Amino acid sequence: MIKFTDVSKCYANGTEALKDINLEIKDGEFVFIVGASGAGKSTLMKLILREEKPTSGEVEVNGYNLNRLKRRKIPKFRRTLGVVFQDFRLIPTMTVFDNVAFALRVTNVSNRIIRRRVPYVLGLVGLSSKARNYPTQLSGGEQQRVSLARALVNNPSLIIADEPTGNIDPEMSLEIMELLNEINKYGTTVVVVTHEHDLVTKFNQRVLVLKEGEVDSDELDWRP
Amino acid sequence: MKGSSFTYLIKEGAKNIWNNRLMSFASVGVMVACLLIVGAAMLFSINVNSFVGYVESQNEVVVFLDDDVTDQEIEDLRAQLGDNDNLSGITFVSKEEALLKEMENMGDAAALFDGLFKDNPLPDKFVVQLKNLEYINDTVRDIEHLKGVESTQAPRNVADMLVNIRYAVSFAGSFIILILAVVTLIIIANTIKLTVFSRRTEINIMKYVGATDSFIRLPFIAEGIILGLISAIVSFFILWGAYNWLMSWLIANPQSWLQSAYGSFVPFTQMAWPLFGGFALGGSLIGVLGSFVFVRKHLRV
Repeated sequence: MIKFTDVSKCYANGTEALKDINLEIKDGEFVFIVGASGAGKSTLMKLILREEKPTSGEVEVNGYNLNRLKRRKIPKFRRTLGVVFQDFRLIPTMTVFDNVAFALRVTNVSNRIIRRRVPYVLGLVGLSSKARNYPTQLSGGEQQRVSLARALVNNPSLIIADEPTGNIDPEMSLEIMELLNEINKYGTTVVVVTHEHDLVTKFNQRVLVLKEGEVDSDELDWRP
Repeated sequence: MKGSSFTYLIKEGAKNIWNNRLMSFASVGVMVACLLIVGAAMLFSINVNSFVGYVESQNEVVVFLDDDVTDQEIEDLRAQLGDNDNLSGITFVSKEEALLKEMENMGDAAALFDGLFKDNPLPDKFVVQLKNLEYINDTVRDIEHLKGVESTQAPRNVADMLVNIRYAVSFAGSFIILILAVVTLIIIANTIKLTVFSRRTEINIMKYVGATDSFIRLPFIAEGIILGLISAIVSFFILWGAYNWLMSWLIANPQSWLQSAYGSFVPFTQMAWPLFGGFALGGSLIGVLGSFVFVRKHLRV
């Protein structure tokens, strides 16, 4: 669950990225966040991930009040969510298997569980056969699916995807979105930040439009 | 932290060294170069010190006694000299012994001295060695104040010079070593900074999947220690080889003026353990500190 209450974010250089945002995303929802560049999408992401703190207002994610979350506790909070980035952020020196296992190793999961859980998730994203490959040997779409597998592997209740289709070709984009939609059906909350409007309209989900740091519209059947 | 993830992290550190072998090679190269220079400076100053000490120990102060000194007074003097903390190796040379020695030196002309035994003009004397040449003036003054001492003969100029050399060497030596150590630290810190920088994506990902700071740091620290130890071992053996080669070169070249000082060279084995310990400690400490400080910067995500 994500809840923003009167959230404003003003950067040190004076940019007012977000103005008085109020929004709530409930457990199990699928939400697109769209907006032109500079509308505040990235800042919104950073606030959800607790990369930044709001200048004023309160942010609550997965039951953690991020305003009062101690630095020490950030890792624990981040384990409750999975993140997918536009540039995949895979480690080039590790195999697909190890890239996914990495997220579990970091959280002190035993090898026994890793050996069971990783193949399962790779199966979910359809990459079982590529487990021993390195990221550079995969296509953009496949790399993004690896990063999705990594986000999924510790069973988070919330997946945040930041322009997940920004670096891959259109057919693959649809595939990734469908995968996210599938994941949402199992009960995971999914938030997708994107600027690809045609993709958004194909799915008929809740769409949050940001414009100049404010929520411009928030509706189900959105048309650009 | 569980045992399994601890071994994983150590393994990860070792693997990183191989995966980033070019960077690791650069770090080891820089560290070896620095340790070699520092080590060579240390060996040099140890040897100069030992040489100066050797020359110092060759110095004697001769204490001439009054002509009418009694046996009792000689014994008292011996005890008093023995009480002086700065003296070692006190030897008494009587008139007769002195004369016999002179005659020995004269060879064939020794007969000329025969008549002197009745009225020996040579005084009784003590030959003493100084422990520390630095205090030669004070010590000589103390000796001259003793009852029964007529005069002394001391190599004050030589003493002054040697003391000055020793001062200069240990001052310049520690100054050079200090500067080199600082330079080494800066270079190595930079290398580690580069290593960490080249892996910032990795650190960034770790932060997003919820790795704790210590979890992120441990592989880097393990890496730092391993690289530091490798550098220590490599530079230790290079230095060992070079030192022994230099020694054998000195023996093989008798015309070298340095050969006269050969006896005072410190054998490498005598310095090996402290040197290796220092290298290993220094190397791994630098590795740990560097990793610690520079990873920290990238942890703020």
